[in-house]
Amino acid sequence: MNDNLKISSSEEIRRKLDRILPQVIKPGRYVGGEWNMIRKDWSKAGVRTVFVFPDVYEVGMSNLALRILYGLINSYDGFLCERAFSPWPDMEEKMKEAGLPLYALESFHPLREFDVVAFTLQYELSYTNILNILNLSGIPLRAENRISPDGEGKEYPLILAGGPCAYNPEPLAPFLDCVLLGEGEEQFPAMLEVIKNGKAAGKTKKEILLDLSSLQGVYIPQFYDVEYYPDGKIKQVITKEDVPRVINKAVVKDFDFAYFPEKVIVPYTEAVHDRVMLEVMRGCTRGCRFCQAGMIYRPLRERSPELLLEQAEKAVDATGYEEISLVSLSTSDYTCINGVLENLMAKMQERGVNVSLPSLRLDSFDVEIAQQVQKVRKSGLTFAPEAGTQRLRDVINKGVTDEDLFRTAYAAFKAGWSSIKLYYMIGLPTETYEDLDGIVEQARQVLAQAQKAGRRGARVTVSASSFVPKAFTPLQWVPQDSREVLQAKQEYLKERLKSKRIKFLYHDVEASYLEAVLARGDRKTADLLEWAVRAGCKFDSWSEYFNFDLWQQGLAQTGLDAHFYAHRQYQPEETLPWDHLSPGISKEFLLQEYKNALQGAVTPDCRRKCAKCGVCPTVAKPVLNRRR
Amino acid sequence: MKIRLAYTKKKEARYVAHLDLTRVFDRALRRAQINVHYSQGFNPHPKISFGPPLAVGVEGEREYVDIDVQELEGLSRKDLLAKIVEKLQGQLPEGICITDSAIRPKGSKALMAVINLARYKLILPGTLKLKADEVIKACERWLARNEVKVVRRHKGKESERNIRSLVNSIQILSADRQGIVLRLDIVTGNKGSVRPTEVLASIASLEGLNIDQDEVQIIREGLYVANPNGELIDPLKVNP
Repeated sequence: MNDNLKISSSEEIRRKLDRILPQVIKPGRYVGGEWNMIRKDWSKAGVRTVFVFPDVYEVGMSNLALRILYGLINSYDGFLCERAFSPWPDMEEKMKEAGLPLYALESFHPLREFDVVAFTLQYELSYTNILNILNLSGIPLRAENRISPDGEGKEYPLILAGGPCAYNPEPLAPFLDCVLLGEGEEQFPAMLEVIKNGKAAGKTKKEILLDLSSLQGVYIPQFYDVEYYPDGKIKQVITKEDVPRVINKAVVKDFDFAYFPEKVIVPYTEAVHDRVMLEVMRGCTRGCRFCQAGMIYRPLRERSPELLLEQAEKAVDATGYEEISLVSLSTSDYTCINGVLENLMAKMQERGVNVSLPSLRLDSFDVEIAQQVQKVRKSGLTFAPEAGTQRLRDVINKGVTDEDLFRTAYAAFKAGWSSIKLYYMIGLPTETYEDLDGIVEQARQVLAQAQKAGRRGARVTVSASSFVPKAFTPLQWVPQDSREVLQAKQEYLKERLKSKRIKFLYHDVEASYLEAVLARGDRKTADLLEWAVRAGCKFDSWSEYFNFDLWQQGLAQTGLDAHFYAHRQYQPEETLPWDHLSPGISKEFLLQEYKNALQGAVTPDCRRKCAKCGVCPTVAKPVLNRRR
Repeated sequence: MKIRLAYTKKKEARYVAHLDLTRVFDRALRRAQINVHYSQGFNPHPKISFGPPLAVGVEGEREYVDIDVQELEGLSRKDLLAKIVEKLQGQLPEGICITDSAIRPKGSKALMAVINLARYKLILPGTLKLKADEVIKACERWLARNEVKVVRRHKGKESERNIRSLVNSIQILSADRQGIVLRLDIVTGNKGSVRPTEVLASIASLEGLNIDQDEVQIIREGLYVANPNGELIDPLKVNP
């Protein structure tokens, strides 16, 4: 805890900032005031929430969940929602010198003054930033220590979390009061309503948490106890209060009625994704076995094309953005993609607005789409074959073939693109050096397509990330390759991808290793996190700040066996740290898919044949547009 | 039709970096439903151009931008300008306020090509405990120097410049218990420029004044086209 935080009034913070800001990099990140920012009356709000993205402003402002929930919560009369991000280390230092606590960008109130501090868990390597933010706010890290002196002083805020990593929040369990599993559009306001009523009725924190636990998707870690076997595996999870034994995710059933943020905040300092994000659908039917998003966001729900066009127009009117991106897990799978693109571009061209697509799948990418997008702008193309051979692609159920890739690459080069980025993963189960050779061969073949299409000077970027097993995927039981093995594989590829026309990118194996520990970690890993933050670890997803030596010291100090989490084969019969949580997919399905993976048996796209994962129709029904 | 606007850059908007300004105006124009002309080529960009950059965090009282807008049939150029100013103002961030506007004649030169003088106001607050006569004398001594060499490091390279020749004049506007207000006229534009903070630091170190720069408030009052007679012309009225 930081004892030097003396200043707390928002006026004082604002005044002090004017002296600090000229001395830090990109001060525009710390003052708010952007177009479409919502500044509500502090004194009139029944519940005051601050949505915290635990990374820098430019990254956080690109997040779709932030855009949706910020607009949504502020659309309610009794609620107020502000924003906060991790200050870059230069700013953190200046704030500490001046005794400034972390504040929200709308009203400059310190986080400590809010009723709810809601973190979004987007990637494991942001966990230290979460704890650092609590430190910078003068809020005790552990929930058990956040008890205000009896009758005196204000209660500490409730610390909430949601987002994809919430499906295994156990490494953060001791620090969080409440976790929301699944989609927040309906459930977040419902939670705030419960908090508002609880506050008004003068209920204690525990009573409010008990009330919250009756909402679907809400997990209160402190009401569950975990018992372990001597070997460290989980014996059982016991409920301490009258709460559900298994928490099922919250889900938006009709996506057309889901809140869409038209008036999103337009940053002045450029954000990573600085454009209108039009979410064409949620969920994915492909069933790639390594992909957590493909599992947890089921079922597939498409938005109607008419609604998308209307939303696009309104969003451009309200923001002035010069680009619209059609986002989803697999946008070219959207049933009416061609029609939507055509209509969008017809409407947007004269306003100087580009339309873009995020990474595309190879088998559904056709020349028509390529050329449509190209009419407006020729940004780089990204494809994700994920593995170098058909055998390994069958293992991970990535149903694309070499022919798909080469045909598409040819079409793209022919249509005018001159650079293609290929994403792969190394360290996948059953991988051999033959599969790595396959990556090299694919890269060469893609370049050969450029030659064939008459595109001289074409370039290919090969990016290889290291496989990290994730909760609620068929590969959740699989050990990660050791760092030595991963490094050797990287070296092997590096040697063979030496070419002026090929750029090879790969990730830090130490960071992937830590990511695996936290992705499959249980509550015992919380001690490591706490140690690391105290030692100064932060911004672990930024290579310039990731300090693996410090993490290793932390492992030695806390006695935590990291290999137990990263490199161990989890057993199908053992209780997993996340078994008391559920995205609706049955464990039987995941196990069956795991067996299929090891046999290289492909499971078809569930649009074609239901794979019986357990989500439909119990959790929600799939929503598909008719092809037109 | 090319229009030139004078605007303020105050409050939170003073933290908008110069490189981000084009985007800020482009988006405001699109929200205001004002169509601008785009450059030709692979990556068309809106024809919006600014005067000399203002350092992040410094307030500007009269900054300038040129915008090449599409004309509207049935609307006179004068009426169109009035309409644009009104609509655009409604879409600009807090702190950016359009204060003046003009239609530019054909062949009008770019702001960066004509503006050659920047006028700054430096407010040295009373808390610095500076004596007005000492500040005046220090400035006079500094101005009396033939040259003042300053080494600037940029991207690892060191370059030595004479900053004295870039400062036209220093005046005291007022001095009371609130503090001392200086006016600096500095050469700017294609011939290079110097930051007011550099000038102040140089005066402080060479002439022996103790000034904590963090306390000093800097405002850019205006930008001008100084002709050979020393006359200052408003960029809105300059020809071509």
